[in-house]
Formats: sequence, structure tokens, C-alpha cells
Amino acid sequence: MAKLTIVEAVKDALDCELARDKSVIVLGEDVGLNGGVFRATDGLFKKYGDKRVIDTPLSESGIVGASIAMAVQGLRPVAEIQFDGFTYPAMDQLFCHAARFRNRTRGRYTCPLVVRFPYGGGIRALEHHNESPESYFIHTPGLKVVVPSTPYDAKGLLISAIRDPDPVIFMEPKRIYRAFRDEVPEEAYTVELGKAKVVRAGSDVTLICWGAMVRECLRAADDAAVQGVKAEVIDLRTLSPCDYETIFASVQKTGRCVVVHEAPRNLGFGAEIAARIQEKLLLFLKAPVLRVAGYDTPFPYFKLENEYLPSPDKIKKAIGRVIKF
Amino acid sequence: MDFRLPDLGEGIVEAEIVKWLVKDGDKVEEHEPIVELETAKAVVQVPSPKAGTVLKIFGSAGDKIHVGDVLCTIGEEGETKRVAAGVVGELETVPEEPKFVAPEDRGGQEGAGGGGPIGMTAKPIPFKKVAEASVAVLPAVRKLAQELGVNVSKVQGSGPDGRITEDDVARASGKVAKEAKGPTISFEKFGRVLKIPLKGMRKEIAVHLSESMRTAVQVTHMDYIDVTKLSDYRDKEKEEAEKRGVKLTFLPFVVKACVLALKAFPYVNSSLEGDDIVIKQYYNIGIAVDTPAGLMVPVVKNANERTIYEIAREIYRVAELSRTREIQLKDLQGGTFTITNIGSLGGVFATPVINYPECAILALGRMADMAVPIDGKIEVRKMLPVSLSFDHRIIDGALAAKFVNEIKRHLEDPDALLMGY
Amino acid sequence: MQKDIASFRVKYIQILDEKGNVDKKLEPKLSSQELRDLYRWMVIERVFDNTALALQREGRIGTYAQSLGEEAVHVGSTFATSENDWIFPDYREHVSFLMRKVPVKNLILHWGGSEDGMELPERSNIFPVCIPVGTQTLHGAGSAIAFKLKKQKNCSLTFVGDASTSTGDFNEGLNFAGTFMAPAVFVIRNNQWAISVPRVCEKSDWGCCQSRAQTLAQKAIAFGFDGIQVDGNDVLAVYSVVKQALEKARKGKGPTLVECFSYRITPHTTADDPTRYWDPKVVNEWVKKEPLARFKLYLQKKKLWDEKFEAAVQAEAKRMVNQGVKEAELHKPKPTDMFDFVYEKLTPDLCEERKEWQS
Repeated sequence: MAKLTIVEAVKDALDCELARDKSVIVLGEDVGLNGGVFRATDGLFKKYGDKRVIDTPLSESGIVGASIAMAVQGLRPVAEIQFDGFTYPAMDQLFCHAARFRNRTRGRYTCPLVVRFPYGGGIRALEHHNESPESYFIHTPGLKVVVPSTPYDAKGLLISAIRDPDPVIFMEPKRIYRAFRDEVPEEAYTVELGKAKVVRAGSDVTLICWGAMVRECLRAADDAAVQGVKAEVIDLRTLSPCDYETIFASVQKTGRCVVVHEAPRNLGFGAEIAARIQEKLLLFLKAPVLRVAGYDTPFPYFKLENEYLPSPDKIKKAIGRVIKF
Repeated sequence: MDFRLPDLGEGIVEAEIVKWLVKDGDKVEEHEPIVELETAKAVVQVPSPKAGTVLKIFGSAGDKIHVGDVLCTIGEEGETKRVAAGVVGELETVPEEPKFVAPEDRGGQEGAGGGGPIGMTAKPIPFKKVAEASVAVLPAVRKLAQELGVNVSKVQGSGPDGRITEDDVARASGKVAKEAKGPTISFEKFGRVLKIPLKGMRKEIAVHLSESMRTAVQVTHMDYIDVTKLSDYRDKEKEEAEKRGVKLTFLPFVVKACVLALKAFPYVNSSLEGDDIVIKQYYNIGIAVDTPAGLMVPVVKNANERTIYEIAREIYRVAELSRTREIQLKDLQGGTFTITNIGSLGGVFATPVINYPECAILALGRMADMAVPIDGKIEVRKMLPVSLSFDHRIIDGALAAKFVNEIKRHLEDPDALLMGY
Repeated sequence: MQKDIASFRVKYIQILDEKGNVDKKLEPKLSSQELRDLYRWMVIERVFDNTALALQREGRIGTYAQSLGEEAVHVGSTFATSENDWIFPDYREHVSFLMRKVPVKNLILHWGGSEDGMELPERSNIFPVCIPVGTQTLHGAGSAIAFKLKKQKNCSLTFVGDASTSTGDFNEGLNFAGTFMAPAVFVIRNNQWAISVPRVCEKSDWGCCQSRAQTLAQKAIAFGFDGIQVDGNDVLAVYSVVKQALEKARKGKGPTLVECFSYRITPHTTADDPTRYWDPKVVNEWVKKEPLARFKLYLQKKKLWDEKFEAAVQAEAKRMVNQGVKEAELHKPKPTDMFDFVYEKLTPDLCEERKEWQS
């Protein structure tokens, strides 16, 4: 079996679906000839031609707006937004239309669209290239939000997203695009949307995370284990709809929970998770649900990005606080 | 310096050496290209970050190197070849261990002290946790159980759906719940009431004194002290003192006498801490002061080292600052024994509450002329009633009596007080 | 009944050709000092650019966008502004900052990953580097509208790339400026590439280009004002046309769109590999047309350039740039600044987080 990086797995997923379904198209800035600025579509232009892998003019609202209509017209567009910080102009189209078409027409028109983009910090990039905007999308009913953290999941989840009848926002953690390799089956396969994964079992505290933070949590869990604290780590994989069942089962068992995300704390997804946990499991909590998140500031330029980002150290501190509560 | 491979293009983790443009020993300028690399994105030329001599290049064409690996070592002209720590690169040194924080110290502590970026602390930090199965308990009750040392999984719940309540926990521990609930009578039933919330210093006092009564076993020993001679002595010294700006009351003399008595009976100058009686080797006498905000007890530190005048001045100073609420925290802390002078308002004996965690407190009643039989004859003597409340866990009545006698001896005979015998 | 009610015309202007020959009719009236200054600034930009590229490859700054080969656009335009005109760059106008007395140190700090770089000196009258391309057009338009409201004689000068003209913000910005006849000049740096997407496509009827408009300059006509195309490698043409546009705006006659037709002879940024999509033959043709070479010939003909002058200019540029790099590398960013500039006053949340970071 081939060992792929996350970005290679993304390309593999696109390749599989482009081959399987003629209505699937890939579009965005520099996705064609150039193969994408992260090479996520490398080679696809040559293989499928310019009617399936399409270079667009520079306009995020244009790309997404046009894709929405293409989806309604029966195509399956997979639109790439070059960087997280450039999804904002597209939000108008996503929130006003993509998220609402099915509801507005009671199912007459639907929008099976995928908008994928690299997100998150940690690679010393320019301003607007480090954002974690998932909260805006999770908060909008009608959109699904998916975040892989491994190459195997990246391929399976993207294929599921492309086959999903609803609009899916697919966020790829660029920090770990090439950080490691995993065995990825050659054939097409799906990883079910809406299902979290317990990547490490434990009994003392539940760590909830996604994307690049999964590795950080695993590192923190390793260190905590040395001190006799067994942390359970859950990789959510899909943020909306979120697999609360898995979360609840785990937190009921451990009684302690720490949510880790890069996005700023205020109204980050950790807030919703914490609210739901205390609604359902108040009687089982041994400590408040803590969040390790970015500060409530704009993502700093890269000289200070390590101060901002959640780290195994910050996660360990939070583990310590809930254990000793 | 070791020139390590930087991240050349947004998330690059490794690169392949295409070809070296320099060799060991070559002189290079700052920004002069020294090697060609191929990354996942492009082929790039990497220049030298400083001028100097290439001491050693690492890797050859076709080799894969990772971001952070040493590409080459660049040195000052003439520097002897220094071998870098291999292609793997040196590990960063782990920073100094942060001070270990005791688990009891809960207020806002972060818990596990760092130990470096992803490093591990050498010292295992004892996480305090109660190993128990998942039990449905409200967090507040769970906390109470923890404090009382009760294992919730072994408690029978009497609340809704078998939920374990506070009472269940309290019963299981055999103790009454810490938070005194107070009476459940509705006073309004009997007439109009005025409700004033308990807060600020009043609340603090309530909490402090409740704790004192709950913890120490308080017994009071009472006696009269004949201060006639002392009163004459004071009258004699009053004028001189005034000239020196000192208001000479009886209090400084009492303080002095107490210090001598504490030295003679060190167990009175102690506190019970867990299973240890901590006998203090310093003598900080607290003086109860009635202030507009409430009762405060500022402390005359190291009273044993001060003269009568110095004690008088210090009493005045801390009392004034207490009344104006400008007193600093350090002057309210560290007391070992307390004196409270209630006599100014009247009263004879009392059962003062110990200024916990001290061992004893001395209350002074109103000094008055009394008819005292001495050698069969009635004489008018100035008598000072005193009440010593003491913690019977630490000392017994006999010692308390001896202690008061010692104070008495010094106050009844100014010579003994002055000379210290 | 049918008749033509509107038609448009777009002029193309070149004053200095690649061989350094000047069109005497259009030659702008510049003093010897001013001509030498134009050259000086282009050299400074080039030296800065080469240094920045090297610094990125050495890991001393982060991703960087080169301006090599496009000096005439930046220098010519900025030189035409008066001190009180405001400039709205995107991310390639490095020398525009320097010409507004922003120290080299600031630019190195910015590209080196510290917000301290964009703490610009007072009255530099230039906006910070703008990464979301096209959005600066609205800022240029809005500022021009403000100037008009406040009855000031200032103009705004906005730089956009060819790709930016596809954005909604660009079109909205031009429309705003047009409807209010605001004193705005918009300069398109048409270097023919949006990373890998070319400006024009002749080979098919399907995508593969930024726009099928014949020129980008003509986009102005849709908003009611003039668009002019100039040779973007000709600093005299850029200067001349932008200067006239600014004067026209200052007189209250409304905005102008100036399309500087040039070519990107470098990668889009240091994270790009153009060998995947460009034709080296075309690139090399354009290298021959680069702005400094022809301007040097022009100055030579006017006896304003000699080896001594060249050496002095190069030395000054190197000194200025190296000094800035040194200062920037000695600068340590303050982590608590992350919290202190979000609002005027720290909110309770930020106070708490600041304390938490410090512990």
C-alpha cells in the first residue's frame, strides 16, 4: 500500500472521484496547470483536461457563487479557496445561498458542493494565511464542516464529502500537509461524515481536538501518561454535524474534558462542546470543561505565532488543572 | 555557525540536495548562493546567511534533508573546522525546572509545571485524584465529598433518581457539613424584620470567629491583678512620657508582662498545626482595636525587643492606622498572642474568643478601686480583672493558671517587670 | 430605430523604448536631479528585492513577493504623488514605502513576521501591506471620497494587480470613486500573471485566463471615467500618465485607471515555482525590456549617468538595505503586544488572557 501525506491523499481523493463521476469538477485559482499552490491538484489537469480541472479568475465570491449554481445545475463542483483567510468574500454566497437552497425550495433545488481550503497556522506564513474560521461555518445551518487529521481520513472524508448531497466545507490542516505519511488504500473508500474517532483510549481525562491539534494532544497525552494520567483523545473529524455521542460516552467515563482548537476562544467550537457537555453530563463532571484555544486577538504575524498557538505545554497545564480540581 | 535548512515555502518539511555550489574551505559572501535544493514545490537556490568560510558541508547530491537539519557550518576566516552534531541537528536544551507548586496551593495555580516545550518533567507531580467509577453527583457535592474524604461510589443516594446529596455525603463522613446552614425559621411570621446583608469586615469576623470556636477547645481562666503599685508608677512616669510624645497607658506594661510570661511558658506562644505544636520563638503581640469598620487586631512585632516607650508608640501607630484603615497587611499578620482591652467600656470578666490559630488571648476588664482584705485589714486597692481564654488542646488549666500568675507577678511588682525576674 | 450611443477608446503610451530612445513630444519635464532620483529609487528597489530574496532563502524572513522587473511601475507612480497624497499598496510595492520614508527596517520586520513593521512613521500617508488583493481599492476610493468631503487637495493612489481586477471589491471601488468623482487614481500592475493564471488566453474559448477584456484599462469606462494603458517598464510613461491623472483628480475632474503593461519575471512569491507554467523564452524577452536598463541608456544619453554615479547609487542602496536588515534583526517583538492592540483598551477577556500568557 502506498504511504501518502495528507496533501497527497487529498489529490488521490480528487483523482478517484474525477475518474468515477463525470459530473465532478475541480475549480479554483491555480488548480489547473500549476497543480495548486500546495500541489493538492498536481497532475490532475494533465489527466482530466481543462473542462474538469478549471483555473478561475481571482474572485472567491465568484468561485463559490458560480460553483453553487453549477451544483444546482447537476454538476458536483469541488471548489478550492487558496487560503483560509480568503474564504471571507465567499461567505456571502455560502451563507445566503449554498446553506439555504434546499430549505428555500423545500428540496426542489439542492447544492452538493464542496469548498476546500488549507487552514490553520504554524508554518510561518503571511497574514490571512493562518486562520481557523470553522466557527462561522459550523454556526450556519445547512453547511457541513469536515476536518481530517491523517492522510487515511483525508482521502476517505473528502470522497464522502464529494458524494454528500449537502454543501460541505472541507478544511485541510496545512501545518501537517506533509508532516507524516500513512498507508492509504489505492481504491476509493469512504470515511463516514459525522463520526468522531477515539485515537487514544484513556480513563482520566478526555481531550477533544481536530486537525493539526490532534498531534499536539497526543504529545501532551504521552507526557501526561508518564505522570500516571491516562488521557483519552478524540479526533472529531466532522465538526458539523458533530458526533456528540462519542464525546458524551467518553466524558461520562472520565469526568474531565479539555477541548483544544487554534481558533480564538470566544465562540470557538469548544464553547459549544462545553455547553453541551454540561447540559448532558453535569452530574458526571469532576471539573469544569476547559478550552485551550487561540487568544482573542487576530492571529499574529509569524514571529509571535508560537506564543499564540495551543501547544502540548498549554494542553498539559489544562490537564493538570482538571485533574487537580 | 550551523546553517540549518529553513522552511523554504509554506509547509515544506524536507528537501533533496540537487548540487552543492561550494565546497569545504571556500570563502563566501553574505547572500552568495551555496546550494541548490529541490522541494515539493520548486527547485531553489539557497544563499549563505553570513560572510565567512565554509567549514563543512553536509550531505551530497541526491540526499534528503529535513527542515532544521544542518546544511553546512560557516565559520570565521581561519577558524578550525568544527564538526556539527551530525545531520540530525542538536536538540534544544530543556529550560530550568519551574518551582514545584504544592497540590494544596490551589488558588489559581496551573497545576503541572512546564518542563520545556515538549519535554517531560523529571519530578512526577502528584496529581490528587479520587479513583472512582462514574457516579452521578452534582459537582458541589462531589467537591464536598472530596474534602471530607468520602468515596462517592460507596454512598447511598437519597436524592431524586437515587442521586447522592450533600446530606448523604455528610452522613457518610460522620461530620456535619462545613457550611452551617443556619436556622430554618421564618422570622417574618412573628413581626416586621429588617434584613442587613452580612458582608465586608463583619462577615470576615464572623467567619474567622466561627472557625476559631469550631476548632480550638476554649476554656477561660479569670483572676484579679493588683496594679496599685503599677498605677503609682505610671502616674509618676506619665508626665515625662508626655514630654516625649508618648501617651502612657497600662497597655505597654501589660504587653511587657505578657512577653515575660510567654518566655516562661513557651507553650502559650504556640499553634497547633495538624499533629504538631508549633512553638514560636518570636513574640508578636496583637492588640485588639475597635475601629469604625469593626474589630481589627494589628500586631506589635517583636515586642520582646522593644522598650515600654517603643511598645507604647507602636501600639499607637498601628491602632491609628487601623482606625483609618491604612494599615498594611504585614502589620495584621504574624501574631502569636493577643490582648484585648474591653475594660474601657466597662465589664469585669469575659470569655474572649481566641484569635485562632493562636493558643491564648488575654482580655482586660475595667480597672477599679476595690476593697481588698490584706493581712486582715480592708484596703482600697486598684484591681485589674483579667480573663485568659486558652486552647485546651495545647495546654491545660494548670499551666494557664501558672501563666496568668506570671503576668500577675510582673504587673503587681514594677521592679520585677523592669528587671525581668 | 437603432444608433450607436456610446463607444470607447483606450490610449497606449510609451515614452521611452527599450533602447533608451525618447518620444520628445511626450517627454516629461523633469530636472536632472529628479531624473537621477527616479533611477536611484529603482536601484534601491532592486537591491532591496535581491536582498529580501536571499534573506528568505536563508530563513531570515518568511514568504516574500519579489518586485524585480516591475520597478518602473512603483517608482514612477509614487514619484508622481505629492507628500499629502495617500498610497494604497498591495504586497509588491516595497519601494513605495521607502519613498515615503518608511525605514527598510520596517519592511524587513514585516516580511520577517512582526506587526511592528507596519507601525509606520507619522505622515507617511501610506496604508499597510494588503494581502487580500483587491480590497485596497475600496480603501483608495473611500479615502478619496473623504478628501473631497473635507475639501482637501489630497488624492489617493491605489495599486492593484491584474488579477485583482476580477474581484468584486475592485469593481465596487471603482464604481464608488466614479459616482462621487473622487480624487482617486488606480494603477494596475499588469504583470500578466496571477500566480499561474495568465492575463489573456488565445488558445481556447474556455477559462485559462483572468479576463477576456481586451485591456484592463477599459474597465474604467464601465464606471464613467478614463482608462489608459502605458508601457509598465517605462518609468517616464508611468510617471507622466500618473502625474497627469493626479492633477486631473486634484482639479476635481474625477478618477483615472492606469494600466501598466509589464511582465512578472520572477515567481509570484518565494513559495511559487513558475517553471511549471511559464515559457522561459517569453520571460527572457521581457528581461531584455526591463526598466532599469533602458532608463540607464536614457540617462547616459543625457549625460546624467556614469560609472561613478552608478557606484555611488549602488553603494548607498546596499548600505541603506544592509543597515535596515541589521536593525530589524536586532529587534525583538513583544509578545504582550498580541493583546494590547486589539482594542484601544484591554477588554476583561484580554486582560485575563494577557495575565494567563504571562504566568
